[in-house]
Amino acid sequence: MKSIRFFLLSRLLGGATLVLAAAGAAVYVAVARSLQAGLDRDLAARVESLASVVFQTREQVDFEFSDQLMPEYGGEEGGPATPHPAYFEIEFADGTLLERSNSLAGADLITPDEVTATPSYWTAPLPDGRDGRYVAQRIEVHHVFPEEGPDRPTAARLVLVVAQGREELVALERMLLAQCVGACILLAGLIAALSWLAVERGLEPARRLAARLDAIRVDDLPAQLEVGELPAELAPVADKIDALIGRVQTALSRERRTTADIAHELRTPVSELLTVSEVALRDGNDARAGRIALAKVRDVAWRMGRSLSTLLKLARLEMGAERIDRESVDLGGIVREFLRSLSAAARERGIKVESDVGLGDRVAGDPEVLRIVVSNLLSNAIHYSARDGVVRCSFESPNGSWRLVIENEAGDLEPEDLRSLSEPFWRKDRARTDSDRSGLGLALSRALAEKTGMELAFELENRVFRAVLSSDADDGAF
Amino acid sequence: MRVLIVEDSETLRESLRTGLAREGFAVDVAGDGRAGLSYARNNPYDVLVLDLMLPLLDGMGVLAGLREKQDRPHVLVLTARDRIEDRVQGLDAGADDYLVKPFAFEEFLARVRALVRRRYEERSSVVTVGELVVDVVARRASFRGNALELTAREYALLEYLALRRGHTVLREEIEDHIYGVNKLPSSNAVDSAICILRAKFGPAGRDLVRTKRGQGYVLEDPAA
Repeated sequence: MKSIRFFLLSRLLGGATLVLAAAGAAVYVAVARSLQAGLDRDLAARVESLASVVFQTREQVDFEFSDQLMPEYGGEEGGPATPHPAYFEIEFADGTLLERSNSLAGADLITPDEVTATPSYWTAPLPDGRDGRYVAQRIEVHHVFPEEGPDRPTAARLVLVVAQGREELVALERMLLAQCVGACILLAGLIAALSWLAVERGLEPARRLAARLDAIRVDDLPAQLEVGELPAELAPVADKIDALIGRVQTALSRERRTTADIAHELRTPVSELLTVSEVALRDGNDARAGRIALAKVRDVAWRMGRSLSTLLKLARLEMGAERIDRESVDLGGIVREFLRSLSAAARERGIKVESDVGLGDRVAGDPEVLRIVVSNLLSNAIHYSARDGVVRCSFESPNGSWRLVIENEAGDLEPEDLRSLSEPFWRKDRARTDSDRSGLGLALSRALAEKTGMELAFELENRVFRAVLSSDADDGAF
Repeated sequence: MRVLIVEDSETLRESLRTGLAREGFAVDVAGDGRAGLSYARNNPYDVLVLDLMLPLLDGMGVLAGLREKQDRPHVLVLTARDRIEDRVQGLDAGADDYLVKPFAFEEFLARVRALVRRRYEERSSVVTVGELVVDVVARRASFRGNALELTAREYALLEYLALRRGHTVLREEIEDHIYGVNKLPSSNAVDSAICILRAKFGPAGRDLVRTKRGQGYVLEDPAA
C-alpha cells in the first residue's frame, strides 16, 4: 500500500465511478426502452388508425384512405414528397395486396413470414435507407356491412405492416447518453473532491500523531504521546505506541544501566592491571616480584575474559544469534557432576548438600545451556548460603513437565530483591565481595532458560531462597 | 608515614600496599568497611585510602564512623564511581581527595604524598632544617649539598621528623607512623634507626636530631 490517501481515494473513486456508471447505464437503458415503447405505441396507433378505415361489404373490401388526413404516408400520388415519410402496406391473408402507402412508390414493404394478432415490432432500414421501426399485425376488418343478419359476410383477415423512421428516437437516445455520461463525470468529480476533503480531514489526526512521533528524541522519551483527542481508530494505536515507548524506556534504562555497570565493573580490574604492572615496573630488578605481578595480571585478565565471554553470550542471545540445540539431556548427571565439582567449596563453608536428583532424570533441552544454568544455580546456592547451612536439590516431572528446585538459606535477601536477581551485575551487597563472581551468572541463566523454552523463577519463603528451573508439558521430560 | 588502605579487591589492595611500602610508607590494609573502620579508629594513620563500594560497611559508612575521631587521617577516596554527584557526596562526607579508577600509580602516590603534607600543614615540597634539605616529592634528602643514601624506612623516618621539625616526636609516635600494625619493631628499632640517620649526616650533622631523654626526638637546626 503506497499510502492510505491513495488507497482510500482510489477505492472511493473507483467504487463511485462503477456505481455511477451502472446507475447511468440503468437510467439510459430504462429511458431508451421507454422511448422505444413510445414509438411502438405510436406504430400500434397507426395500425389501429389504418384498420379503422377498412370497410367490407358482401362484394368487396374497401380502404377509404385520405391522403390529406395522413400526409406522412406520402400525400397524393405525384404530390410533394414528405421529408421523413412513414410507410404502410395492407395485404389479405393470402398475400394479395389491398393497399400500400404512396410513400412506397410501388415498392414492397418487408413483411415477416408469420404475422399474428399480437403486434410484432422490429427495427430495420426503411425503403428510403433511413433507420426504421416496423410493426406487423394480423387484424380482422372492423367495419363489415351489413352489420347484422344472415347476409353479413365473414370479416376478412388482413395483414398490416407499418413503418416509420427512428431518427427522432435515435437523436433522443444520443442526447440521453450524452447527458448520462456528463452527469456521471460531474458526479464523479464532485465525489472526488468531497472524498479528497474527507480523506484529508480523516488523516489529519494521523499526521498529528506522525508529527508528534517525529519530534520524539531517543534521549528524551515522553511518558505519554500527548497528541490530544484521537479518533477511535487511532486511539488504540496511540495506546500501543505509549506502551511501546514504555518498553523502549525500560530497555534503554536497562541498557544504560548495564553499560554503566560494565564500565564500572571494568574499572576495578583495569585498576588492578595498571597498579600491579606499574608497581612491578617501579622495581624492575626484582624478578620474583615481577613474576608474581605477571601471575596477578594473568588472573585478572582471565577474570575479565570470562566476564566478556558471558556478556557476549548474553548479547548474542538477545540478538538471536546463539544456536540452541534440543535433545534428551541427563539433567541428573549434570546436577551430580556440578555437585561433585563444588563439593570442596561446600565443605569449606560447612554446607551440607542434599539432592534427590537421580541419574537418568532426563529432560528435553540444550545440554550446554542446561550445564551453564545448573552450574550457576548450584554455585550461587553454595556461595550465598549461610555458613553451615543446607543446599537442597530436588527434581520432579509430573505429566510430562519437569521442575528442578535448588534452595538455600536466604541470608539477607529480601522479597524486593527477587526482581533484581537476574539483572546483570546486580549484587545484594553492591561491593564485590568475591572477585570470582561477575554478577552475570543469573542474568545469563535466565536469558538462556527463556531462549530455550524453560522458565527460571526465584522464590523466597520463610527465609529460604528457591531457584526453580522448569519446563511445561510441551517441552517435557523424557 | 602510615597509610591504611581499605579496598575489597585483594589484587589492588596488595599491589597498592607493595607500591606504598616500597616508597617507605607503613601500610595497613583491610578488605571490608567494618575492619577498615576499626583499624582507622584505633591507629594514628596519616592517610586513609578508602574504596566506596565495600562489603559489610560501605565507604560512606566508614567516613561517617570517623567523623567523631580526634586527629582523624586525611582520606583519599578511591572508587569506580565517576559522576560529579558521587564526588560531591564523597567530599561532603569528609573525604579530602577523590581518585577515580582506573588511575596511574604515580598519580595515586602523588595524591597520598600531598595529603601527608596537608596533614602536617606543609605547603612547600621542600623542607629545610639548617643545612638539611628534604624534598618530600622527589623523596630525596641532602646535607650540606651532599645527597644522603637512605633506605625507604630511613627516609620515612627523616621525612616524619622533618615535617614535625622543632617538635618533640615521641618514640611511640615514630613507631605508629613508620611501622604498620603487623610489623611492630623491636624495642630499640627506633633508637637504632636514629643512630643510623645521625651516622649518615656525618659528624657535622650529629646534632640535627636531638634526643629528649625519656620523651623522644626533635629535629632542629642546632645553630638556630
